Amino acid sequence: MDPSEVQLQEIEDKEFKKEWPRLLTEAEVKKIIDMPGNQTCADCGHATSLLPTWASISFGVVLCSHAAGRHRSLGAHISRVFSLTLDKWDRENYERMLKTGNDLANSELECKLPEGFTKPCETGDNFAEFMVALDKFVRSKYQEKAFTRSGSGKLVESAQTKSMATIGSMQFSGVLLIKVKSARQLICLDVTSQSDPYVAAEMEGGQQKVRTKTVKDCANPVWDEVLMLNVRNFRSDVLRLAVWDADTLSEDDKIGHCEIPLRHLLRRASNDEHDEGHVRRMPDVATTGVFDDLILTGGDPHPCICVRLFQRNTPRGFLSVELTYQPLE
Amino acid sequence: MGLLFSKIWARMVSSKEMRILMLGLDAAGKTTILYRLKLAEVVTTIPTVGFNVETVEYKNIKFNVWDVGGQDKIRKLWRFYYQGTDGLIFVVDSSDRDRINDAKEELQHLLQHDELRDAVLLVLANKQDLPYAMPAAEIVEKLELKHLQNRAWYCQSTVASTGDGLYEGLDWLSRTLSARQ
Repeated sequence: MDPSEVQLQEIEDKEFKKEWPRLLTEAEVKKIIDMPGNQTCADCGHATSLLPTWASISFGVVLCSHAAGRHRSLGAHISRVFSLTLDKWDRENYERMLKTGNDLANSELECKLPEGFTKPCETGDNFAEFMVALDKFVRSKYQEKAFTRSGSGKLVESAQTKSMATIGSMQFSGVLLIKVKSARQLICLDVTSQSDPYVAAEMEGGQQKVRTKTVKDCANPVWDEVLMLNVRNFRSDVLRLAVWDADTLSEDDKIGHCEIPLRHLLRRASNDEHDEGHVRRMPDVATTGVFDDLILTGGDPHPCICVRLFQRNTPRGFLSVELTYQPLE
Repeated sequence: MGLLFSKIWARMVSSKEMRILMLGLDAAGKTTILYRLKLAEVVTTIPTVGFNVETVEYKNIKFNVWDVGGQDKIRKLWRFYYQGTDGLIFVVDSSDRDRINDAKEELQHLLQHDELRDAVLLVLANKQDLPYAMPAAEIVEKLELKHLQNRAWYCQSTVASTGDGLYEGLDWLSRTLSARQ
């Protein structure tokens, strides 16, 4: 073995011996997923799009995020829910998962399903209906234990009577920090004075919108403000930046906007993982990215991007931002 | 015309804005609280892998509430949300006795950060409807809130699913934050 291999071995050993509770390794997660029945959610077994990445350690089953949400609504005294990838685990909980599995747990918890009953299944047609059905099923199965050998065999009513909107569903892979620095040569939209510009940012198709403060009466405003957005998928998300003119008496006018596909922001490997307590230097983006109408200025560690703003194909000025992607990993 | 006037009026008498950061262990009820305040309804949540942000207006204050996921790995990202925080809401699952100590550690850790030095602290002792829930007084004791120095804090018992206690909590926040202006 050459020295670097020895070193690698040492690191792996250290990782393996790391004290519980700790995050599960990829191999450990795979071991859980490989248990009989664990390839689909224990409660809505048909939905392959809803990967089981959650677990109820109270019952030793793996769940999709919708079922995980319903389990959590029962309270931790009935079902304690952990993420397979985001939570630290105790050894005994991990080992318990390896003793059960969805098939074994369901053979007990679902041995007396009502005749002709089909488990809730997300078909994509009626999401609200699916959620009501899932809520009823989870309550009956785990809280009332209605389908065990000694159970009533009947479904309980759903406790959810109001809105069935699903909230908190924003799966993300990290956050994008957008340092909005300044703009220059903004086109003036006001008749009597300069514009009162602010910057709004959103991810295409996302639910979040964030904005900076308004700078009064200025064609070359400086904001120096950090905005934050969830990134769902670094490869497909597109950042939209727009500079608006704030008006007191009417709707705000858009001065110009630009779109930045995040995949153009090539990420460099972070080499400074040490010292969690400190705000460490974040892995930076955009070192060699090529953009339409993008001019890269500045340098490490936080490259500044200067984008040209457009409105209806007319150039409307320039905006300087620093983008930093902070992945969850 | 009336509509125009009311619009202009609303813009001129702009209410104060407060940045509120809502944190706590996973499954404490943060997202349910956020949307109970925003929509006055119980919503079906799934675990927040990421964050939610909503503006809630109450007593002429705009509360900009950030609700950040509580899973272990996501807690490492909490620090990116600290800056500019006026009030910290720390949500606790009062029925979860096994993890109240984890909650205490996370809270103590949070409060050491310089960026949160001036933030007032509202602790919501949530899930009071569950069996054997610890009352607010016990939460105060378990979280060692009385040992805090130079910190305005308050502990309110809540039931997010019915909304009980939430507005009392906001009342305290608005009073305390207004008094500081």
